[in-house]
Amino acid sequence: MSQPPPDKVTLEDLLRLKRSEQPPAEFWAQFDRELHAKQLAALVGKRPWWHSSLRVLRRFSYLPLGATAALVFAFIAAHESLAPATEIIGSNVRVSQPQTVPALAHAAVVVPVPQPVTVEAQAKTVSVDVAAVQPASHPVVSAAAPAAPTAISWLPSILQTTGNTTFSSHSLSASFADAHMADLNLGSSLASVGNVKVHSAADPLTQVSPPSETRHARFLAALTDSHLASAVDPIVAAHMHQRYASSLGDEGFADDIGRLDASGDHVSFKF
Amino acid sequence: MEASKALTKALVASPERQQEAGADWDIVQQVRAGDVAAFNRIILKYRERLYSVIYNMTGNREDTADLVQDAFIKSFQSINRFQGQSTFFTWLYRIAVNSTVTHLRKNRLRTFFSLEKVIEEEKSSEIIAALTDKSGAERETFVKELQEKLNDALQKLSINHRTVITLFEIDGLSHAEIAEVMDCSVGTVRSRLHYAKQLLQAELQPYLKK
Repeated sequence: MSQPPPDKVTLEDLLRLKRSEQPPAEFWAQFDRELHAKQLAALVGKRPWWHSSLRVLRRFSYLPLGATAALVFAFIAAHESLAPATEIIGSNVRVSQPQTVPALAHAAVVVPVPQPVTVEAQAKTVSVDVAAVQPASHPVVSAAAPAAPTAISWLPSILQTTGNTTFSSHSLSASFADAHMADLNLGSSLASVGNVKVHSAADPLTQVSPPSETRHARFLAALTDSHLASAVDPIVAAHMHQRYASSLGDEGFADDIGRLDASGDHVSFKF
Repeated sequence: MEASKALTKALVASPERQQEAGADWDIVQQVRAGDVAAFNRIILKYRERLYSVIYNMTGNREDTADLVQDAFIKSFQSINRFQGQSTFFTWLYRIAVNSTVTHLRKNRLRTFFSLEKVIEEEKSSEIIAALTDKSGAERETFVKELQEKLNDALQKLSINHRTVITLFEIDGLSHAEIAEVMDCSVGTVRSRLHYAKQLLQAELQPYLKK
């Protein structure tokens, strides 16, 4: 027995018709087949690489921000410290083989310090084994005098350490401390070679003589050449040298400048 | 603990939903324990409902089939991540709705509709009878035309409005459940529903009988 049709058709009634839109039964058979195939593929298929990474990250997600920052900082610091300390040497120094370099054999070196050093010449990093190097705190350079031969070779310890992929923090820190010390020593030993400029990586300013000293030496040399040449008596010459040296000091220069007075259209000197 | 959470959530829903939530939780536990075949019960239980929701959102049979399958696969793959903070079916619906929304946004310019046949039940027959007194082929043509008009009206809505009206009017979810599925407030659901109904009424005015 069928009911009479309703007088009123609402929006809800119309939308109810949409519920009746259903696929035929054969559709579901195909749907199930495809779904099972996909399910199997999902079970067997490999997950992308980042899935495992995400799982690991999720495990550490409880770490506070500060600890994470410290971890990242430590990682970056370790990464930076792995880069070898570089030295810019004169362009005529070229050390490319781990063997004795004859050109440096005549360098005047006093104290033997067999320590590993890493040197970069012309943007190429080499390891140098200095067989005899003077201490950095007391550099004695005498290019004219013959000295014991200096052996420069590749440092296997450093290179082996950097070549390997596994490091221990102790061995790394020890190696880099050694390299740092030897670096200073090598700087002073290479300075003995006449045309080689060596700058220490540790404190470059100590390797540069101040401008006042250079100026002082230049003036003193000029005065000595021009005036002391005529002095026959060595006592007189020494006395004059001392006077010139004291007058060439910074205070002397300041006094000299104070004597100069330029005003208007004339210049006056005070004696 | 997790099961109790799910059941607590389910308490706000109807008794049928509560029963459903408990049964689903049992199946989830079985699947987690390694009984993969238990997931087939989930598929059989929800495939028609999910199909209906996604079909009314996309208006395309082929896309709907793919999206429903993908939703089941995704839920199967991440079933260990289901923490029971919501009922399983809202979790499953959320996966399906999110996939569908992403798909619709990606293929905004591609509009291809394929309509399913209306299976006339008692209620739907009454509504059609109220709208037309034709019979036979003419009636079928009228139903087809009405179907297309309904589909067009739904597709004119924004994705969010369409989702809300589909979940509420066609699938019969409550406001709270829709809010959970769509990850928004109940107020937002109500407002979207109101706006969507207004638009649909304007579109379907010729078919509404007062």
